[in-house]
Amino acid sequence: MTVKHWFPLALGAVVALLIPAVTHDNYVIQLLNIAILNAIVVLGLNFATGWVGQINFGQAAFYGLGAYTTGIATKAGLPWITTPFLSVVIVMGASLVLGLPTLRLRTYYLAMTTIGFGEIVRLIIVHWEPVTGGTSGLRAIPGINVFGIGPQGQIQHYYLLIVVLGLAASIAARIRQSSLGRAMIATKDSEIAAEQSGVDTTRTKLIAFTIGAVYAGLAGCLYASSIRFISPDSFSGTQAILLMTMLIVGGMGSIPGCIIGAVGLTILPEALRFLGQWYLVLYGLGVIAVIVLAPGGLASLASRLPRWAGAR
Amino acid sequence: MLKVDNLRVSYGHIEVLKGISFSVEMGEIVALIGGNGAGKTTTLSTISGLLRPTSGTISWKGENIHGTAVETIVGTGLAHCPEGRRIFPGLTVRENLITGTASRAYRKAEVEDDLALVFELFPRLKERIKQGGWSLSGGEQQMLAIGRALMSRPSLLMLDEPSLGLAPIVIEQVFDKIVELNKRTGLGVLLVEQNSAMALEVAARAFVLETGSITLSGSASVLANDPRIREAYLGG
Repeated sequence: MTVKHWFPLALGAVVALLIPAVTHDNYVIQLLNIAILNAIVVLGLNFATGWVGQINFGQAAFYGLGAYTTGIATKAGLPWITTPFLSVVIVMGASLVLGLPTLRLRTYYLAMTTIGFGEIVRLIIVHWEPVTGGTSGLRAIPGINVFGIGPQGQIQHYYLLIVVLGLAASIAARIRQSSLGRAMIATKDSEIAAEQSGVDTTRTKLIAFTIGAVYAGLAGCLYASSIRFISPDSFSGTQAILLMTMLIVGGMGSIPGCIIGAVGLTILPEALRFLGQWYLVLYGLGVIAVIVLAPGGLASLASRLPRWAGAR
Repeated sequence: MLKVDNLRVSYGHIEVLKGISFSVEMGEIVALIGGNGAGKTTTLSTISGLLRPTSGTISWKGENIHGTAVETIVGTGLAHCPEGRRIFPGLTVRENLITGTASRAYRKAEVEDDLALVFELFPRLKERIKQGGWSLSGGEQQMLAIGRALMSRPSLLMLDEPSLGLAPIVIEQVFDKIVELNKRTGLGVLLVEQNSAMALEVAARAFVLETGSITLSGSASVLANDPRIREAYLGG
């Protein structure tokens, strides 16, 4: 680790930890909590999409599966500690069912399959009303509770989620440095050359897709039990496209990029709310501006900073 | 060691290989020469498992490898360094090379040994070790592609047009390295080349492929003096 590695990291951590000292506004902290959860989901999306180059529109549905599994299970009286495991089992199952037949094929089958999957999940949530609460969602979901201990209030949740995000990012960084990470990039760059180097590309794609689903499932689990209210809107097809936009704007393949994109695009609509209907115009222009001016995403701008900033 | 028998390959209705047979022995450099569209790349791609033959057999170390997955074939010591270099631009030079070990479980020390060997052959790559693959010149990319193929510890290396798009002096360097490897490690090489003069110089034996059939074969030095070869491939 050199200065250019740990300096932005340390800066980010200090800023993140100081935020609750600056504002005690519950609305702001809750918005940040959602931003952090979105960042975890986008980090997950980055495996299959940013590193392996597979287009995945199912990430919002995995997010929702984790959230609804947790909401339904805890409301039915299961102890909270079981819910991360339940969520992981469900999203892993779903991702294998989707991934096994489609990831053998090159090209865009995963994109089409995951669009369909997102719609199926949404329809189930909306129509299975007695269990999922339908369009009005699930309210008063029990909070995080590990043998009687759990965070109280928005700020404690905030710190917990920051720690989870840090873990999620460092695990992603470790995977990128491993042989699996190299296999992912190799598969994206040239599937044929990757196979000729001995990489099992089908397996690599499937693992990346499944890890991404697990990230989303766990984020969904934490969403349900820290926001305590879930509804189908939070996990719709629009949300899937928004997650993809976060990844592109932040910077495909870049871990800081995922976090910047997710946090930025979660907060921006709220910050622009005073514009009323016009906020969408500004939002759209902003996204286009980033794509045109910094095709590598916001994270790529760091590499354009002068040397004294520690990045090159 | 590698034995191809009556191999036929078609793209749709067009038959590209019309029943070719040849073999490569242990530690031998064999050249496959011929013009554009003769089927040279198709031959290599079929051996390495990227294409399925319509008939014929490919036997490698005594086993039929027909229908085996590409990534599995690499693990048996048959490496294919594809045409057009196809390195991984998003990985560093070091990562590109290590990806070449993906077919088997290596101990860390073995990987370092193999890296050292590649860097000894291509010192230029060592200078570029942390650079992204995208930043390399054409010649460096070719060295990297060969280096990556060597990292799988092949006993036979299939090289497709290593001279493509390279400056003459770089071509010479690359061929020198190939011969050096062959002498030092007993690596067998199946060399596909349009640069026939170069190929015949380094190879012991050669085959001439013309529109899907082998029309001539024999010792490289004899072929290099054959009037038909001189006229068609060596410029008279």
